[in-house]
Amino acid sequence: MRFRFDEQLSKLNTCLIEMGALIERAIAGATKALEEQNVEMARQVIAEEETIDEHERDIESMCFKLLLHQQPVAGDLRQVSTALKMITDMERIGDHASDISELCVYLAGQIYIKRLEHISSMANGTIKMVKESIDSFVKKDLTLAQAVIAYDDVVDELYYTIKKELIGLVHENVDNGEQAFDLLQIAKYYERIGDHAVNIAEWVIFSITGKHKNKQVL
Amino acid sequence: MLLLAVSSVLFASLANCYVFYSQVASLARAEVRERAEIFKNDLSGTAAAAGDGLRVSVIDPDGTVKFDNTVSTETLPNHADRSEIREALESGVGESIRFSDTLREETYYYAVKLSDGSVLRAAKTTRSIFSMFGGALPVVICIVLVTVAAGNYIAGKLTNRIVEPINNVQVDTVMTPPYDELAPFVRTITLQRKRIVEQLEDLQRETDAIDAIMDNMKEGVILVDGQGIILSANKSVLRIFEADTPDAANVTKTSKESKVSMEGKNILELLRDVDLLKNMRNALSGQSCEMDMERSGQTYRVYFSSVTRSGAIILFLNITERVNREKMRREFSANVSHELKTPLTSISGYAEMLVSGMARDEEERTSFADKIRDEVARMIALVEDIMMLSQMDEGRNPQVLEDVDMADVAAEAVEALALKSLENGISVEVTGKDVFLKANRAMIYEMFHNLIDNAVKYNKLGGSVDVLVAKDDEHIVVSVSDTGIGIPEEARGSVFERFYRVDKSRSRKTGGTGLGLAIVKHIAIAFNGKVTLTSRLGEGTTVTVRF
Repeated sequence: MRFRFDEQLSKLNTCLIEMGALIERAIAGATKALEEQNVEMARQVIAEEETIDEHERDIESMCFKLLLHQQPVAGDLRQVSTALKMITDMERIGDHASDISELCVYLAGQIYIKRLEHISSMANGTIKMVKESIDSFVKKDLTLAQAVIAYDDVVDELYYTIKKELIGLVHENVDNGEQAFDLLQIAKYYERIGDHAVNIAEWVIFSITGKHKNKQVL
Repeated sequence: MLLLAVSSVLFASLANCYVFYSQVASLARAEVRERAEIFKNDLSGTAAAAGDGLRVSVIDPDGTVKFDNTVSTETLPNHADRSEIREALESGVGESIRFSDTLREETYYYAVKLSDGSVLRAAKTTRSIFSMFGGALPVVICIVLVTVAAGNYIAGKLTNRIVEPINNVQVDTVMTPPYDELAPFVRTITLQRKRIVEQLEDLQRETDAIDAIMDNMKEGVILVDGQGIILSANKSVLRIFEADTPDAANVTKTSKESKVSMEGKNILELLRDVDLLKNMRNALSGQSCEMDMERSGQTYRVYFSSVTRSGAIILFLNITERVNREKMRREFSANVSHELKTPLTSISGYAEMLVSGMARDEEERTSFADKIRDEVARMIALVEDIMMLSQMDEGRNPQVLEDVDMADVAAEAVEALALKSLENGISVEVTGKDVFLKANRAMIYEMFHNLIDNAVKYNKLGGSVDVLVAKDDEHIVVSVSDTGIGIPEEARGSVFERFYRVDKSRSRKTGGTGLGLAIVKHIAIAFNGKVTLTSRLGEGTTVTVRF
């Protein structure tokens, strides 16, 4: 019985890592689509969202079954509940990646009103955050998880820089307005992805220490 | 054996008891019968008989006890249902044995029918067989215990004496049989032992060989089971995947531990890649496949193949060099075609103008022809350079090696470029002599020519070029310094690349091929030399070759 439980837990772990790999690829793809105005890549990311959702459902039912049949306690319970919380954030990241890709498809025919330097560094920042949040989960690395949370400030700062730049561009020429909105939306999506990566990192910390946002939950 | 002893003691005592009892009982019964026959005619002795334990009673045919020599007749119940009485009434004589309530005693009854119809019964109570055995029991138990103890002790001693030599046999060394009867066994065991040791050694050797191969091969190998759990992975895999972790330097040191820690983990923990996972699943379902993967700037070709009993082998080949080479080759051919096309275009242009008679006079025609000749010369130089480079690329280094006087060759190159340097008012000086390098003279000349040509070409008007040929403890050092325009910092890494030009517009004018330094580098490499470059923008450049 116990053996079976351990096996199921390790399977859950594997599935989570796999889903992590999927979302990492999704945002990398979305970013590539944005930078290279690659419509094909964007469509691929949008199509991939389905797979991510499927993974979420699978992991969800796996967690519920584990809770129901094995009634885990202590660390095991934390592991299962962390998985349940993490997949929600992962799925949202997948959604945002697909949202960005949709905007990319729309923007593909246009010439960007500005160079994407800040949006690119924001994208790379969030990719790094997501990668490291999942790394911290795989390696059960507390310091890495904390680093992810700290890095969110950098991404937030970039978002405000981008916002200011875009406002300036709209002031210069009202015709820039439409694309400026789209670009701001994309920046916002990246900012949200960063937030979800922080959530994942927080849950990783919870699964290691039992504390969520410095509060004892269980 | 103990059991046998115990059971035999018990059985013997039981048998003893029985024999003794049956003799005692038959004697007692005979006595009863005899006395009864006497009392049949005369009841007078009954009182005395009571003292011997013989009970005599006379019972009426209806069962009432008429007389009894031990008990008063009133207390006795009707005896008609007693089997010996009934028997006696019917056939004249009757007997029966009855046990007391506790089975400790038994009573033998003997009844005779008297002439008056009543029955005389004599009875004697003796100890039953059970009681007899019960009495003997403590003794029996004592004997049993003693037998057990003694048997145990003796059996132990005996067994020890037999087994001890067998126990003391040295299995590790050559065995000598303790008993002759065991000789065949000992022989077989010794033989098998030898065989096992040999096989173990063979196995160990094989494992060592496989480990050595696995650990020393450049390619990464991972063996996974059906669930993607790593069963085994070699050192190269660690080098590939821990390349981006900070403790990469310690990999070789700790690889044994990391190897252990990697086994049993899911491959996803090592390598989070969706495509890899997809391909691995393909391989696990029996379909071999391959993919290219990039990781920390290196390109890997990954082969997946299934192995029997649900598992897969994943092989990582570093193909970065091949990919880069292919890229370089593509770029090189693109560059070559471009470089060849440029002079051809101008040649064709001038030729066109000549043909269509656009040149008005002889002077113009001559100038066109001059330009055509210049461009052709440039093309020839280019083709020669390319040929030289491709020869060196193919590693067809000249076999003819001689002791080349470096200063002499340098002077020769300076001589060849004298006109060019004179035009620009540049003074060229060669210092050092008696330095000899075992090399191919033509190639060394080519090297000097290219270096000095560059130094003159990219110099200021009235500048100078210093060619130094020297020899230190280990190396022969050749350096060419100029007082020219210098090379900007960001370009310094690229000047040895083929067709790279710092300033594209200028080099057209000066007629370079863009291959000069690439050729120098190749020549240096061909004779185990190394090229270094120092430069200050606006002040000059020094190229040093150490052989």
